[in-house]
Amino acid sequence: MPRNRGNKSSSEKEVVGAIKLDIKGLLLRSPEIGTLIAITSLYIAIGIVNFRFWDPMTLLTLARWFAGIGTLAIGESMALIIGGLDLSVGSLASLSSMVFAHLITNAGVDSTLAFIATLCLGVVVGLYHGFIVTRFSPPLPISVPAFVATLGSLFLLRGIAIGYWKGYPVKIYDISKISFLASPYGGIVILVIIAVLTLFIQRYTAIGRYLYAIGGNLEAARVAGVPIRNVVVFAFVYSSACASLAGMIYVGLVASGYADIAAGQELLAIASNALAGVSLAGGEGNVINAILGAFLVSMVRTGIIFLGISAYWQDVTAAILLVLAVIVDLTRRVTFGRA
Amino acid sequence: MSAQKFYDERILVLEDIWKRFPGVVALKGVSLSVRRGEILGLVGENGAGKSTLLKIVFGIYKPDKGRIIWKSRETSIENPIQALNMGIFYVPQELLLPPNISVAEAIAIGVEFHRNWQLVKYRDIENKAKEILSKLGLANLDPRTKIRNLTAAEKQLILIARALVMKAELLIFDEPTSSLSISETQRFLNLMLELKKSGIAQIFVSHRIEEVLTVSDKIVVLRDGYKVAEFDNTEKKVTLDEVIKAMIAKDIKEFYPKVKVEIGDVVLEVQNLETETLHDISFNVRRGEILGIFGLLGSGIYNIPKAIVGLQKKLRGRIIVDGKDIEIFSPTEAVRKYGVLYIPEDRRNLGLFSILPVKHNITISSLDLLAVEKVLNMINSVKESTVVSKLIKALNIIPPDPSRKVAYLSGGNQQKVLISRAFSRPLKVVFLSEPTVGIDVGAKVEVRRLMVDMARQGLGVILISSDYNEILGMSDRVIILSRGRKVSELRREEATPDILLKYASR
Repeated sequence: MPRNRGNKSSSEKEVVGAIKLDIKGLLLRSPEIGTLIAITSLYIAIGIVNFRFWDPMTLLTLARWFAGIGTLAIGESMALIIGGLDLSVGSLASLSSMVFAHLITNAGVDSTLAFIATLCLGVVVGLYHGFIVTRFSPPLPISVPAFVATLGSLFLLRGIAIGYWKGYPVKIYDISKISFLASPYGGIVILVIIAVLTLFIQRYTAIGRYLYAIGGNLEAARVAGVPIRNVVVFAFVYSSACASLAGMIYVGLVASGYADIAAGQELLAIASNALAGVSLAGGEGNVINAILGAFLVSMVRTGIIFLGISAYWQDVTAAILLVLAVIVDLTRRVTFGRA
Repeated sequence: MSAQKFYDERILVLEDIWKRFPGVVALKGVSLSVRRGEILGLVGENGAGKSTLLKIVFGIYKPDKGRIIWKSRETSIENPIQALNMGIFYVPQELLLPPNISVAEAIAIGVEFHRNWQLVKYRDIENKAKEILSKLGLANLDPRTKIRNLTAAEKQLILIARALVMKAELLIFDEPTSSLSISETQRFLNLMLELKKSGIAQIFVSHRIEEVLTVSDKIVVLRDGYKVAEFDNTEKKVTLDEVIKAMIAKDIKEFYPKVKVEIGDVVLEVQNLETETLHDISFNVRRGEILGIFGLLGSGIYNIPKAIVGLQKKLRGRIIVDGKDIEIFSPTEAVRKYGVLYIPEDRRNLGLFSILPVKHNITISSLDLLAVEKVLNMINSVKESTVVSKLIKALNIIPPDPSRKVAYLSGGNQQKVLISRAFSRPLKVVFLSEPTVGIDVGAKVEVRRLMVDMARQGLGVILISSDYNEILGMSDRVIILSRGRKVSELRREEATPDILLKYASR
């Protein structure tokens, strides 16, 4: 009997019988649907409490911040898929915002050149992470050296961002210099371009296949002849480059570089991925999951303000989201026997 | 209770058990029963439904339909904890014990500590452990030894000790002898008979049918989810042929489908290979030839391909491919530059990506050829799909669905997916390490046929195996290793089981 995949799962449903268990199974199997449901219901729920949440301008503001978190989450997804972790993206985004603003305001560099130079900073940081991880990886799972190396960078990059400018922000006085980034759609355009590019890499290229192979089973990838070092370095470079982009997107939002503009956002990036189906164990999920997760996370962060909760509580929501994400990810893995 | 009654009581009865998974019905109305003090042998090809049945008995799966009767009372087994409380103990194929606890603790965990806050009385649990271990013939094992220092056989005994402490009445062994040496296997089988005497019911699942035949009272054969035969082994001894005939639908004419292939010139030559475990190994293989490398556990046979493709450090030695002296630094280079592919023995850990689809697993070693270099190494998906569907068909991978995750295939089909890599690109030399371990009889023959196909295509095939029948049946030439050294080289005509074992156990 020819059947497509959807029908197969429905035949399983008949066997299981209970509809309740079924929904859980469906959500676990396709986390995108679960995330979409969460997004829609939260959007409706917060709007019922505070009508202004449904204002199109709110959505636009939300979308502009989402562009930054989304770009971070996309980069992070690369590190997570290979079974690694990148804890430095928040600090790198902050440092990038400083460098970008500094180059334009203090050094008087053309904004295109500043953009490229800042992106290069990200690439260099990524190369450094990739070097450490591939150098010390063989007997360990990738996540161990990745954790240590990027945790080091979390402090190092933040330290540079605060130390070099002595804690002061760098303002860009002439907004016209960054007119594209400062326009309402600048960040979103970048996000879309990055998302499409990442999806293409993950789905349709050899390097994409290798990413999943390494995350799925590192030793088997080695035996099968996957060029592990190159691919791991690529993943970390990609993650860092996205972080630098995110930093510049934030500059477009506030017209300044701040040393803590993205502080702690590495956790949001990880939570976005884990919530929506990029497994923390590696080898699963893609950019679509990352983006949906990031949108959910951004909405929660904006939403609490509309619920009348002070913005000073944002770290608490971030923590709750992260723990929730880990629980969701673990449940999914336990259900499918990958704990 | 009279002795007669004691042995006649059926402890577990399964009636008309059905279990369906997405896309496959794993069990189709299977009924069976086990009595106290009885050993039930459960055999069948991979994917016949053995594991599913065991998991149902142990409460990991719930049957969709059917009755489970435990000690004359109909029950449903909700989870493994309930199964343990009922007296059912499952010894899995892979023995998962925490490596850093002591033997005494491993035996006592969850048994001695009834209350969570109870302090550990080390002397008590150590004495208890000692007592039980001596019953199992491990009297000289110190209960304070850490689990990580134990052999597979000892770990298995620890699990059995746990079962005894927990007063298990039904023991389930899933492929218990697959990681044991010959003498350990013998000891294990004797232990099963001992346990039988004390009235414990046992279910014994194994691919090694001879072993099942020696100890079982009753043998149930599953095929395709059906129970196709049940043999009584107490009165009249059942023969291997009878069981195999029931297991496989079609008659297998040739167990070792060796075909004469024209042998060409030397394609790979290894001279004086020296690593930490291998000493002064030299051999060569010709196009179209199957070279067998035989050795017992610990002989170092599995390290040969690892050293050659660059997974293990090579201290000395020359590798010559097609007459050219080469240096291989990584498996990537071995495959892409020199056409040397290693198909590893440990399917699960070294071979396959179980969470990835069949398609990705097949082409992982040939993506450099399928990619369009100009566009970010984009994979030519039309070409890939053609290659994949051709291989799925040629290798008879079931179900023939390229997007199914490998984890959901049976062992034999997983192995075929792994071997298909050798056909996914042009190669010169293939190392096949234990290609037929842990797969059913039918799949074994299919895999061996593929081996011949590789030779026919002009590859140098190197078969590394600890199964002397397979080596004798398939190789044109055999080299024998013992303790990391090559001890002999024989032509096909000269090799016999006696000679092989004699050299290998030197």
